[in-house]
Amino acid sequence: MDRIDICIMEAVMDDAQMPFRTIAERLGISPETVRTRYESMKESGTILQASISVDFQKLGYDGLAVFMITCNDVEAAVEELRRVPSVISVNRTLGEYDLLVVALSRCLKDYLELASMIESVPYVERMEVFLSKLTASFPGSTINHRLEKEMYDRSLE
Amino acid sequence: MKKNNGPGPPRIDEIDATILRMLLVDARTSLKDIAESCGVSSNAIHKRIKKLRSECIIIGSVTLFNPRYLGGSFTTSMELLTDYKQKTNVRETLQKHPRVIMCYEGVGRCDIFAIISVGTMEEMESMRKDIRNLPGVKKLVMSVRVDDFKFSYENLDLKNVEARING
Repeated sequence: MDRIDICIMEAVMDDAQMPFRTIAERLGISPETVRTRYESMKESGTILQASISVDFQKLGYDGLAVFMITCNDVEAAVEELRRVPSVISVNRTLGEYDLLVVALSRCLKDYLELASMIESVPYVERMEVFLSKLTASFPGSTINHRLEKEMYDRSLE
Repeated sequence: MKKNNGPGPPRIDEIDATILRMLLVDARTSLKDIAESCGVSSNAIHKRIKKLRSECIIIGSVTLFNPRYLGGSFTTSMELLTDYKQKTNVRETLQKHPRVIMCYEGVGRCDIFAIISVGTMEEMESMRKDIRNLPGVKKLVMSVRVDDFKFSYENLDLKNVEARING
């Protein structure tokens, strides 16, 4: 990764939809170069995801549920859990539990349905939950960008 | 059922839902691709997106990078038990920490749930110590995440809001 990559990263960090042309003009390179660099960062996994931030509250979602799950077949459970409606992230973890599942929910009824769907996944043995109010923009304001900025600053030293 | 211009959340139909889903999955999806999936013109999609923005349903966009390439190599979830009176203080302090990716205050298994990204085991250890010593923190449990931290929105129901809200 070089300085150009980092400049591209910085440009799209808070505006994932910034046209490649704008970035190119800013850096004095061709839009094609920006595109190639961007695509290769996506391919290598440096760029995980470019996403719009949505006010999920306006779509009726106001709850964020995190399920901490113990299961007897992690790989199989991951496959099943990824298909459960409202689940937005399934992560394997090392520690007290095996899986961390993040889901959005609209109301208590919604949440209880979701919980019983997760309970009914055959490999799930036990689950515990953490519930929180969903912040206005997700993932936008929940993601801390200082991490990236810090990395950028370091690269300029 | 409420009418389009009535109070309450704006109505999201099938096309809006498809637009939102495709842009959540990849914010750089072209108008043409969205238009093809919806079976309408690119111009119509453009108008819809403008409307979704003016209604503040789409608030902005972010690119998430892999912490592994950004000086972080472990992503760890962190559960905190705190004095209830100090819960918000602790969350606010945590949120300012440069290694904290996301941080929520709530109820259930823990009082605060956070995701952090650290570069080395030493850094993790010193961070654990710092956070453990914050006033009001009673217990701290960490679990290292194996998978990359990202979201998938394929299974999320984005339309039919009013029907759900009104029963």
